[in-house]
Amino acid sequence: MVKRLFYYWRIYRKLTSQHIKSRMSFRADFLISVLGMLALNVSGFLSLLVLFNTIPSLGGWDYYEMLFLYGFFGLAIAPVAILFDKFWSLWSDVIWGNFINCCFKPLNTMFYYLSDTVDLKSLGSLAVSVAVFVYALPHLRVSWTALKVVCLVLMYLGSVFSFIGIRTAVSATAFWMGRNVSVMNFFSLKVEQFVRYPLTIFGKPFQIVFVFVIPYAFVAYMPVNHLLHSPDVSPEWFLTPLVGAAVFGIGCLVWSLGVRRYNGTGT
Amino acid sequence: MNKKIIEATGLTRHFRVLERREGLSGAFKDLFSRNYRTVKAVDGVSFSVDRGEILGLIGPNGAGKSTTIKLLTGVLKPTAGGVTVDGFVPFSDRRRYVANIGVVLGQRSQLWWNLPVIESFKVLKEIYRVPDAVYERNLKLFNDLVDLKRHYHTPVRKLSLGQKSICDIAASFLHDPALIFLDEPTIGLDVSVKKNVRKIIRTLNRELGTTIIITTHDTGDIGNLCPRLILIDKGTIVYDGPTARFNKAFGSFRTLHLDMSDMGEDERGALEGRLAGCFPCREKISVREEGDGWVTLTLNQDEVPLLDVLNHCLKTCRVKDVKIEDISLEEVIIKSYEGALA
Ligand SMILES: Nc1ncnc2c1ncn2[C@@H]1O[C@H](COP(=O)(O)OP(=O)(O)OP(=O)(O)O)[C@@H](O)[C@H]1O
Ligand SMILES: [Mg+2]
Repeated sequence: MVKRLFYYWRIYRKLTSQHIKSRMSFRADFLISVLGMLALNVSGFLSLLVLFNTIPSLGGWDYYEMLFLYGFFGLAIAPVAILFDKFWSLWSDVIWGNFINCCFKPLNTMFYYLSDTVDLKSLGSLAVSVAVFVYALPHLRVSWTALKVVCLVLMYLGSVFSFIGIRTAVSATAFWMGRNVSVMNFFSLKVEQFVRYPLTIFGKPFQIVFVFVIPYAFVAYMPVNHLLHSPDVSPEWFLTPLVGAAVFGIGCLVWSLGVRRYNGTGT
Repeated sequence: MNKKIIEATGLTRHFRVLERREGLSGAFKDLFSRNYRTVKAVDGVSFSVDRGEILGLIGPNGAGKSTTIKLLTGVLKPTAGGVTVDGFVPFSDRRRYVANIGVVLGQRSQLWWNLPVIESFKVLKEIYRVPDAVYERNLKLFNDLVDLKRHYHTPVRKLSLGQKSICDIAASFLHDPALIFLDEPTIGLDVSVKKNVRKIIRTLNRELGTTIIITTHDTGDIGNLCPRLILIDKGTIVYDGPTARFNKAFGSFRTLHLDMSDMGEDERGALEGRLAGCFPCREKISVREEGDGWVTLTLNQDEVPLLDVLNHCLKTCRVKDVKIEDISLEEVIIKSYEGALA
């Protein structure tokens, strides 16, 4: 198991370092895209400060708590944004046949599919999320203990894996429907813009959907709410890592069902 | 070790394809009720392949060659029937199975677009855990055949189609696979590159004992490479046997293309009867209108000399242009159904 992880890690490291090297060889394009992304994110960050300043409290959350939630959400989705960017082109690779190459390697198909692309632009948003997170952190009314720090890390991992699982399942719809850009956009441009605010500002039906159907609640709201609003670590805190593992598992299952259904069109 | 490396019995793959209705209103209707049609891409195919063999799969467009390759390489699940390759069931044991094979799809590179060739090879070495000694030996074998070193540091996207094909074949055998599948490896290549590709395949087979399955449109590939061939049409096997026998049956056939656009349609129509009268033979010379003024004659040189027929046509008809070719696969299939290979 550990040996296997190292094996995958060696391949991944080799491919990504080559990929980054080749991206950098198009120097102008690389610099412009990183600078553009930074500018975009900084302006986004500034407008966020203005927005949160004008609404002093939302759903019972104060200014710094909101920023913390926002930062946590950004950190939780960063791995997907940076490492899973190729999901956006899955539909065209399925339709035009490039996906077939993934079937010929003695590796996990999802790993192999994702392994040759890193979205460096998203490092800009990651930087902004880190900044927001660190800026809000000292202003929280949390009595920190070592256990809470450990739990926060565990919950963070749960959030990351929940998000990976959701995105994987959403992207894998390409195996059934072909062009799934509208589905991808619906989730990333619409739904995911809402779930970075406290869940309590939505009506009950939405809350139920985000907890039980598409568990976006666990990507940020649940863990952050526990940390900020319950005085001590309780069993509920461990729900996020558990949900993370389960949702990730479901995502991988949907993916492999999709691959079984893949019929090698376009070759 | 089992002598047979591939055993396929009743291998079948059907596709359900949507029958799209025409126009915008048709597309709208398709949203609500859909008509499906079943395409029998591979339909009950049985064959076996010995270790170390080079097998050619030929057939016209849409015959089911690529689908057969996809079934053999574990991309597709058979609708019915089954196949074992080197002790594996390709679709169910995919991950372990593909460690032992190499696949080359003409026109679709499996190398990384942005990576220099040698870096691609290094990644593959990592993926297949190729020992240094094997890796070095295989690269050397390849460099002795074609000078690959020149391209080591070129990113794959900057290679020409021919260079890319050669690199792809090199990549597919780095890990000493027991079998290599090549789907139309020579498509779009010019004659000298084709020759190189054939040389490489022959050498790999001889030096490393690799079993090779190759699909092609090009009868030149078959004649030069494969002692045995399988001819498929509409998903079923039309012929499976020695290439020599195939060549004996069809090698003396020629197709003669004549541009007779200056002649009237009925004049051209009378040609078949006239030829049958002048050149009596067991199998009469077939005459086909191409619709653009060209006429295609197919004849067997064992029975009637090509030059005599050509002379006759030049004398009696107004011919603007002439082309002579080997028999086409379509004609081969028609004749096979008529029992030419029996
Ligand atoms: N994924 C698919 N979905 C639906 N139909 C398919 C699919 N793949 C192949 N077919 C159909 O199956 C038949 C056989 O196709 P295949 O690609 O195997 O032919 P081929 O012998 O490789 O032809 P070519 O020489 O043109 O490459 C064709 O009629 C094709 O339209
Ligand atoms: Mg094909």
